[in-house]
Amino acid sequence: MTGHQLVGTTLRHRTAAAVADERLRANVARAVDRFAGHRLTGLAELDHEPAAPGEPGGADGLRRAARAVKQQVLADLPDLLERFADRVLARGGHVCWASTAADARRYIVDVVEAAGATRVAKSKSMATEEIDLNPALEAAGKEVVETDLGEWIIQLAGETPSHIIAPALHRDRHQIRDLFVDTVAAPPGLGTEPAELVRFARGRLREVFLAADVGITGANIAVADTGSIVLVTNEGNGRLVTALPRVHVAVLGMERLAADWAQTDLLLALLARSATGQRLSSYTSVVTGARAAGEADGPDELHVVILDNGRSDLLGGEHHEMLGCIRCGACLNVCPVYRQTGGHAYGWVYPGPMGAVLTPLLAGKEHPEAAEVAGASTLCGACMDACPVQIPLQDLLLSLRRARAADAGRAERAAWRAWAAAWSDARRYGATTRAATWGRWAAGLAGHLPAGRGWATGRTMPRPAAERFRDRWRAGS
Amino acid sequence: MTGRETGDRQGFLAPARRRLAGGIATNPVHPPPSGPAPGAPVPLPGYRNLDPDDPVATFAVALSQVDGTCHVVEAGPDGALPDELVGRLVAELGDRSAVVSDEPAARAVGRQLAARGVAVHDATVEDAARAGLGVTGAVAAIAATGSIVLDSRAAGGRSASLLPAVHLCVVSVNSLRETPADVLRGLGSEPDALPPSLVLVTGPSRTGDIEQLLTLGAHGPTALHVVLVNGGQ
Repeated sequence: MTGHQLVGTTLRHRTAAAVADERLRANVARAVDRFAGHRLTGLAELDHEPAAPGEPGGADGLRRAARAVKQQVLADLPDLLERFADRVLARGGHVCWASTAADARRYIVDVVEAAGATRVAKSKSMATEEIDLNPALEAAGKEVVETDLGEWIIQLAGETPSHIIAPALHRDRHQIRDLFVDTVAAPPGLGTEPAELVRFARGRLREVFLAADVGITGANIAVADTGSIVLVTNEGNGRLVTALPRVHVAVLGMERLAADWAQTDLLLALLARSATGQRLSSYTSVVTGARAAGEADGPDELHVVILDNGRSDLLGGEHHEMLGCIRCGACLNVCPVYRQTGGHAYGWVYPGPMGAVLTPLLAGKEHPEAAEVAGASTLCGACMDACPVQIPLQDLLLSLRRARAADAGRAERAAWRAWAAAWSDARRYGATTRAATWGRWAAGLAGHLPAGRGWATGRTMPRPAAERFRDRWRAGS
Repeated sequence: MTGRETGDRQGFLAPARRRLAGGIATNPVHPPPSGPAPGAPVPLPGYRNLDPDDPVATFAVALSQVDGTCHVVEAGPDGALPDELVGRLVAELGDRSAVVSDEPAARAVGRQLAARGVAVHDATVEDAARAGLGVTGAVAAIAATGSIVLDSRAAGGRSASLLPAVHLCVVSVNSLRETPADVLRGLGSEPDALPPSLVLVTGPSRTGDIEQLLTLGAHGPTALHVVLVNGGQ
């Protein structure tokens, strides 16, 4: 996999690098404060009569209902996927069952080849980030352009998204202006006003939309009853990518289902408000099949790639509820750790609390280093409070840490056992508290703690008092 | 007409079925709510900004809050819009062309524009990409969110509402619904009636990707005018 940093760096190194970057932290803090404020305003407008006394009303009641809806969907997932696929097929769409990232990449490259296409326009999709689709297409000689503005910016910078809703939020206007000049030959006179930068990007990307042969999107929700894909965007890139190219490929995480339109209505009421505070995003597109006779535009072919890539392993188990995630980004915006580090410290494509859960679970098989990402949390619980489907994120993080501790090295366990044995005996306890031995003993223990000597780095070893309490007690002073 | 299936469906679903057959672990710290009984209705989100006695006013406010403009007009002969409104649009358009969708409401505006000397075309991709104004109808409007609902089958495509810098949408007040649920919850009853593209448009195209500052006209229209027509059909 490219672009991610799980291999060759540690969480500690990535975090230290992020925290040392004052500009990055200022950019991230400004962004998450705006998002989090808008979310509260947006949710306050939703109304709900509690179904029974003692149950919450308003947005909290709807979040509770959404959690129940997601539970129903996941319990019934295989049948819903079959119903969805049958509806897509009946409407003339093609369906690919991709158990692995490699299955999905191979199918999509084949579709692009079969279409005789060279130019691919993409709308923002975390699932395609997860399966490293762009490098696979580029290796096949295809030109791939991200069309979401933030996603285009990080593509030009050779980075991964630092936020699932605003991929380039770690960069400010000056950095973006310089990037445009350096990478896509923007005129040196280009200013730094956001409106001017957006106008430049609009012009460049409009050419991409008009020239692209294949459009690739993700899917916010797939509706089983009608075989529809719901795409939510603000810029309109989702609409353009599904209107102009001859072929549309949608990559759908297998858990992103809703049974029907009543469930979809509830999830949409919460999705945009939780992400940006909007009542609805500018464009909520419902795609059902390829273009119809008599339409002047729209794709001739629709392909839906249904992706497992480790998701089914979560079903039924301790981390089952993580599959309810609707990718709104609310948990990132309230997380005290994300606020300090931004997204790249998490090392893979999903950052923040949802990423700290998903990264070990989805990337952990291939990269055991991913397990430590569950440590990037204070367990404060702000994430669950913000989650529109009330995923108990802190409980999932704790369970991942517990699993990791159970796997911890034998040396660490032996060190703690020696400490316990020493301090449970008065004479040996006395021996360890003598100043001469204290430093050696403590350093030895720290050396056996997780991540090499990482635990001791950044922590100050307490200095023993000049005279021990036991000695003063005996002396009667 | 039926699509092609690639990969082994039952092989793909087998791990999921196997795991679910073993039961579902319940989070002991924050157990999920018991939830509605199977078949019970999904709760309806209520919208505190909705005035059920005046959905037109709710719509106009909601649309202005997302930087769109609402015009409420009386139906003219043959679906004509007030001269004053058309005159303003023509003045803003300058010498650029306009495209119109297949909907009768859009065609009527097209005739008015042509009468004032504007070059008016069908909304092919090529013509829409060059046009300064795209005119469409809508199958519904939604008061609580200030949205319009565009149907690609009714419009004959997607480009008229997407490529020009300004989008003008003409919709009858009779098509105004209170909430998204009034539109969305009916979609499942006739799956074959769903068009290839149904879009809820809520304001002009926007981005916040540069410092989370709102900028209009990222990829789609920079301005959105919705004309709610009283009376008529």
